[in-house]
Amino acid sequence: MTARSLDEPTGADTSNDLLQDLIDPPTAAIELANRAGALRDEVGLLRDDVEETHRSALQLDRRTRAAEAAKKDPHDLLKELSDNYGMSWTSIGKALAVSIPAIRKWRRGGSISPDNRTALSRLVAFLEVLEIDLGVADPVGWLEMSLPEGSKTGLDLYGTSHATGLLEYAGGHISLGDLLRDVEDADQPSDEGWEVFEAPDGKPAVRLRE
Amino acid sequence: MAREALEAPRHVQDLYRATGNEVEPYRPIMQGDIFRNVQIPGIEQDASKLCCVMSHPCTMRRGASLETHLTVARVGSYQDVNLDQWSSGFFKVMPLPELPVESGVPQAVFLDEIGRIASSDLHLPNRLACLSEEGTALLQQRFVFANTRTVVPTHRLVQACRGEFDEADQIEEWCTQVLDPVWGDDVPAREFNALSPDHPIFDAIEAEVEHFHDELTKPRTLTEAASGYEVTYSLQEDLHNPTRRRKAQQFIATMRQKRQEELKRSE
Repeated sequence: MTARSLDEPTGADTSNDLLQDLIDPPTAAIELANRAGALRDEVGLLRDDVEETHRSALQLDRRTRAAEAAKKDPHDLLKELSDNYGMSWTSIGKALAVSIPAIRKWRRGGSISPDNRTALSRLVAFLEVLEIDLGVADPVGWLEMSLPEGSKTGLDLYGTSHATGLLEYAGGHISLGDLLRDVEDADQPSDEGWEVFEAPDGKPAVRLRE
Repeated sequence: MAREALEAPRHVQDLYRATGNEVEPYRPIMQGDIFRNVQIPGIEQDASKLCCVMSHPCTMRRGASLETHLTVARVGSYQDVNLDQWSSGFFKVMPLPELPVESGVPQAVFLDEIGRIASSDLHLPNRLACLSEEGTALLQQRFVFANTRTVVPTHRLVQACRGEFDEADQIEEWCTQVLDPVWGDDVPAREFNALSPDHPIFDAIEAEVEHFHDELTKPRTLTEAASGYEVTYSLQEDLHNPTRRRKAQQFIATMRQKRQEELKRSE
């Protein structure tokens, strides 16, 4: 017995119609499912396109700001990071993957390689996008916070080339899981039940979470 | 799920904030600093008398000054320990790969050779290395494990010291910006280690650290716009408060510039 096409005219025989009705619903369901599947694929592709476009827009925004920042003296960029954003030398070093003595030399007017100068201006641009475009009031404080349920901070991820992902996360466009997908060890729970608390002497201490 | 193994740095350079000539005298003495020429009572040491400061950053100071006595551990020659061996053994030591010592022999902190010394025995020109935040947390982790068989994740140890690390960074930045213009020409950065501990710059550093600490802890008042109430606060408290931290840092930067101009004028 073969299934009837949806467009096929129906016969007058009632028992035959009944039989056809018993056969057709699965066929209709399959077609409907196929159509829904195709639509879903299209939406998925559209979503991918939108995500890619948004990602490109964020990168372009950051590149444009970085190009502006690159016109400034590296000494002024360091001052901007330190005095305006409150970024410590330790954090600057971590973000740029350079040593503290290297930063100190730049601050004292020592020479800076073109690569490091680019990295410096990109860091300033990154903080500008976080603050101005995404409304993060204290971008450095936000970067230095531990990500929920994890051992990593935004700064750790910035240092491992996840800057665009961080911007998407800050803007609420991707989840923490999406952000961490490409990060090494991200799948390992790392909170381990330990917590930092204020001890009776008023200083922070570490204990196992109850 | 508990982390079952002790951690290791990904790269040797991640362990150190600075070594040798790159150690900055403006950096306050912190846990994990390696000094030479320090006699630890009751501990047999080699000729260079190396030691590592073990006192915790939260408890090593009274106000701006170091406590009169600190805990240190012996640093001495040890076998070369690869980074991938840190997790599986060598639990009585904290390896110090590539520490620049004259002999060129690998060094380690001996976690069971501890002593108490006068903090006045720690002279800044004798500081051979400063551990990074990560290095300090690894030292703490190995020390805790050696004494309690408990593995505490390093990121929590860093988190517990966050305020102290930030304050040390602030002091270093303050002293660099304020004292460099005054002393920079007389004492080029790379020659600090050759100075006598009696050199006047060390008194200047001490005085500036005290000045900065006074500014940091001074009670300040502000009137809340919404309620009209007067609120008392200190910059030190604000530095530890995520919502007020950035403003506090901006305020400190302004104070620093003023202080710099003040000292220049008084020259």
